[in-house]
Amino acid sequence: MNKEKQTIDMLSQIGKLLLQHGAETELVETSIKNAAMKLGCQELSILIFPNAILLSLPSGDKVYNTQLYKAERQDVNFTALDKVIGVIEQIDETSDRAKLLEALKDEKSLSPMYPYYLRNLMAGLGCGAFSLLFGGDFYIFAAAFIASTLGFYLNSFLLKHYFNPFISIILVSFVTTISSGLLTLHNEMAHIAIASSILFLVPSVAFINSVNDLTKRHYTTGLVRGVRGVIISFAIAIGISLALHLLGVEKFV
Amino acid sequence: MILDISIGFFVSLSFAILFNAPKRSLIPIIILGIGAVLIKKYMLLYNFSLEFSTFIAAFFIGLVSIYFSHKQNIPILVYAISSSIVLVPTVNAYKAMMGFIQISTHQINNQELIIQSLHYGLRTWLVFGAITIGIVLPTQFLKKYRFKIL
Repeated sequence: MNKEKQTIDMLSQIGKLLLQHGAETELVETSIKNAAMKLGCQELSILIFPNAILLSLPSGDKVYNTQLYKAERQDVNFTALDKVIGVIEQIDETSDRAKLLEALKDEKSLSPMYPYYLRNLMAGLGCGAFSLLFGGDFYIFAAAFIASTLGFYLNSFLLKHYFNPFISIILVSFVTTISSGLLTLHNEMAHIAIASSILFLVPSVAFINSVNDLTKRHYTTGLVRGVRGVIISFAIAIGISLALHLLGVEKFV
Repeated sequence: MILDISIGFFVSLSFAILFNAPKRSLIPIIILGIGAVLIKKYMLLYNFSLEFSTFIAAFFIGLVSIYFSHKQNIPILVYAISSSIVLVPTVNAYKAMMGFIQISTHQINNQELIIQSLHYGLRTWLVFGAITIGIVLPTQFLKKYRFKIL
């Protein structure tokens, strides 16, 4: 494998990993440029789409090497961002490119997750604690805890079986609302339990990244992320309203 | 006070773990989350509006996360997103949605309900805007540092 191909593969792998795990566009661009500077390529053009990266690197006088990389999925994993940035810091002109490329291609070790049971427990605890913030009592906390633990379990089960993410969000918010609604059926503070138990679905990364991109003049990616956030919010709303129509809207105002 | 601190602790810690934040960033995230809860609560006690107090709390998160990000060499995003979850106005959003469901199903002539749900909906969007602008604004002021961080 020649050196130029290795360089461009490495740069696009860096960009792809950052884009997949929830980095903003500016961060992707500066990281690729930083790595390119360290590898000794001065003239690099980058174009970042919401789910793909186009890199173009001049070689020789009139030839350009161009590479298009697609980001296969979009999830949030901040440890992966940290690890990729750590790899970029190790790069210098003398470092072994084949080894670095191998390290970057090993996506499993670059994106570790916390153990599954811990994440499930934490989803419940976070949503339960959030209900206390709005003045819920201990019973509301317990209801939100149970409902969101159940919902998170269902969410990861559906995503593991490659469900359409929007449909799985509708299903998850439906199940979460049904369970928290049934647990707090004749309680005055039922709305706090329902509103806080679906908090783990809120597309906060999409919204904050969208504003981040729009203010830094990456309009295309910013708009697409914003639209994605709005669609997720509507999916959550559809799930909740289906569940409330089943349970009876008047009980939960 | 102790209840607020523990709420900030648990909410920010659990969302940091849901987003797979690196282990060394967990303590800064918890500090930011607790700070945001306390700022919002005490500003509301002194009769500031919900939007303004949320904005100041988000601004605090944005500003302090620049410091941590500089120190630990982790992107600002990691701190800002996990700790800003405590500011999300879920109950307002829920009330707006319930109002719209009620209007669309049977209570078409209830003007009070229409105005009330519009009020909650606008409030939700303003608070969301306050969170995002509050986080993004400090990074725009301090551009020099942002590029150093990478």
